[in-house]
Amino acid sequence: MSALETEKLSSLLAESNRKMEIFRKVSFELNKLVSLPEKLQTILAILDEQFGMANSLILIPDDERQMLTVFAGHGYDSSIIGQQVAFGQGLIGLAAVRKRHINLTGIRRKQHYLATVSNEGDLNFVKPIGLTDAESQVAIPLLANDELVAVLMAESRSFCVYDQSDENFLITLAQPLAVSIQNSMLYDSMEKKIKERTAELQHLNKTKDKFFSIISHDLRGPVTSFQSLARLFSYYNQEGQSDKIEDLCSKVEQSVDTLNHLLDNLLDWSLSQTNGIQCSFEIIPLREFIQTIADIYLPNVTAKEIEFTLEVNDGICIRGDRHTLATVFRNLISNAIKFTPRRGSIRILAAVENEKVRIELRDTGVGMDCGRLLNAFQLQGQRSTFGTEKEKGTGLGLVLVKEFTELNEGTITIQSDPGTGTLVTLLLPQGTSPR
Amino acid sequence: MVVPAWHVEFLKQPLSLWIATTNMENVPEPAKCTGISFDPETDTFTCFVPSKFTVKTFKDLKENPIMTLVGVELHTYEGYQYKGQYLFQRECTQKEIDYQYKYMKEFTDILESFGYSGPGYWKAYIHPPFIALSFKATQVFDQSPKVGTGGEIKTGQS
Amino acid sequence: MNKSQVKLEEIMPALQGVIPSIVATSSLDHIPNVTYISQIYYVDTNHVALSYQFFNKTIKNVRENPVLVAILTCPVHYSLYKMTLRYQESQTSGEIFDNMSMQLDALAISQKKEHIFKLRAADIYEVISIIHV
Repeated sequence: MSALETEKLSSLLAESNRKMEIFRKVSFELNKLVSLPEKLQTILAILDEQFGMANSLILIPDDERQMLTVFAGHGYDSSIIGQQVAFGQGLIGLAAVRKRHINLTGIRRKQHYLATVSNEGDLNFVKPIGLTDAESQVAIPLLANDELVAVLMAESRSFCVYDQSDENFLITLAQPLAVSIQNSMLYDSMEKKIKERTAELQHLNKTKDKFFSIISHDLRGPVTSFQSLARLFSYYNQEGQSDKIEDLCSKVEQSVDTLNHLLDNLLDWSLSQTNGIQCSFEIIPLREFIQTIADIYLPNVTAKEIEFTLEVNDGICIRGDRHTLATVFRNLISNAIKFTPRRGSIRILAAVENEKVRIELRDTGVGMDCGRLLNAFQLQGQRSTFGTEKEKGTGLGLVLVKEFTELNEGTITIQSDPGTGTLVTLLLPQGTSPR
Repeated sequence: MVVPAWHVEFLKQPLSLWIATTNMENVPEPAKCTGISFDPETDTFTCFVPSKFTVKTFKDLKENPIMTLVGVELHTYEGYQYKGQYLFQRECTQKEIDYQYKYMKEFTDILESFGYSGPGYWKAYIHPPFIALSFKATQVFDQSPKVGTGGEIKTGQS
Repeated sequence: MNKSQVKLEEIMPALQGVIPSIVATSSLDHIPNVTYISQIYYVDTNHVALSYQFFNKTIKNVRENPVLVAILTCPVHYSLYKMTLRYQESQTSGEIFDNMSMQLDALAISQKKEHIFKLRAADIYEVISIIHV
């Protein structure tokens, strides 16, 4: 064997060893338990150190296969992370679409030549994502099971040239890189799903806790009342005080109403949490609807000498689910009565506005401070509050009102000032009868 | 006159210049030209070529005295081929040698501005001694890279 | 074997299109033609490819007289190589055509000129000889 041949073989062997070393280092990094961006940054640094790839990027495709986003970069400033390239655009986009590697050298001369030959005037380059004056670029699609996982792109300002064996080496390296990226992304995706499920479970848990809290505290009141009332019934009966029994009957009725109301709300709320509510939309004449509900509370209104007015034209109709909207108005009216002091007033007005019906419920009640207003529609931290004459609630009322208003494609806002009163505004879809 | 008058100025630029010949077996031979002079009165080109590159060229010309010269402008790629009858060859004069060095300086300055290596090109092309090959142009063809290129340019055309 | 014969793999840098190559052809009536070509593409140990984008004198000559002689310049050492080739066939599909087409597309797309530059064929040449000039 001649000296030249020996030298050639030695050179080939050294090259082979160098590439094996790169492989070893890259494999070591791929097996580390670190975040994917960190892993990829390290690998790009190895490729620079060992392979002379001073500028390189790894881009990940989106789910729709429309855009590729820079996930890791080496040799650029940090602002390159997150930049995007469309599929089919430039070297990177083309490699992604065709799932084939591309190696270009002498880019600027070739582009200048094309621009001159096309005779279409000034050079009109699409601004590249990396170096604007790259002379050499190689883009290698990273595939796992023939699916595009990422694109590795390296570029240089010099006419550095990757020979066939360099190209083949990078393509071989692409395989474990692709699998590692895919595994990391699957892992991240599963972690995200687990977090979402955990949050969902935590929410359901809180709901359950609230549910039991309501059952244990809020319903006990009326039940305890019944116990007391039962004892009083027995006592007055024994004493022959039938007039007092008459009084007790109205108290029983009151307690039953309260209990009913509480149970209705509780049932509705639990159904809404388990997506058990089935809405059936219909055209509802508004005045008649609100009047029917308001009539339930006539005794309460009369007892507190509250002035209750309904200013709704007969022609106004809303479109919604009767049952859930009844819950909305029941709670709003019941709240208004509860928090309006003796001889106060409650006004309900309605007007049509751009195919919506604006319903205003205005009371001269105690109002709410900022803190309460902010948390009015929040379940967490709800505390049931007593009315002006010690009327009881569960704290579920406004939570339900908001949920059910939105179920009916409506919106709700509350304005309130302590001592001045509260204005509740609902916007619901207008109901129009088919012609 | 075969070569359009306005080519006189075009040919004074530091163009990329190559000549080609072919033998009777139709095996062509390109050779690097390190400068030219053009006589518009006689449509005669004198091409300066490093002797090192002319071994087969001379053999070809003995069998088949047809020569082609291509000149391409480095920035715009505007280019023309001049085909014609070989006349004679001689050694370059000192003036012509000086001219070639001047030409190469201008030529490599442009290439360096493109990012290439000036010394690299010197090393590749400048190999004294230089021979002067003269031929009389009989046809001119447009070589500029565009759709429909390759057509013959008749005198009076641009 | 001629000592000055060079293997194709030894001149890979010259096949990257960094420095355009010069190609000379001859018509059957012994008229030489010489022109620049952007890139000569490596195919395998014994073959290269030239892009056929639009019909010209070079293509015409080669179709009637299949010998083409190219001068390549190595962008690393600036050595000159004379390559004698024989035209074999034109390919309009397959890996070579696809690779060449992709390179052209990558350049053209970056200038929004993909509608202008389309590879018509990849002309495959057998390498007869390569010598260092």
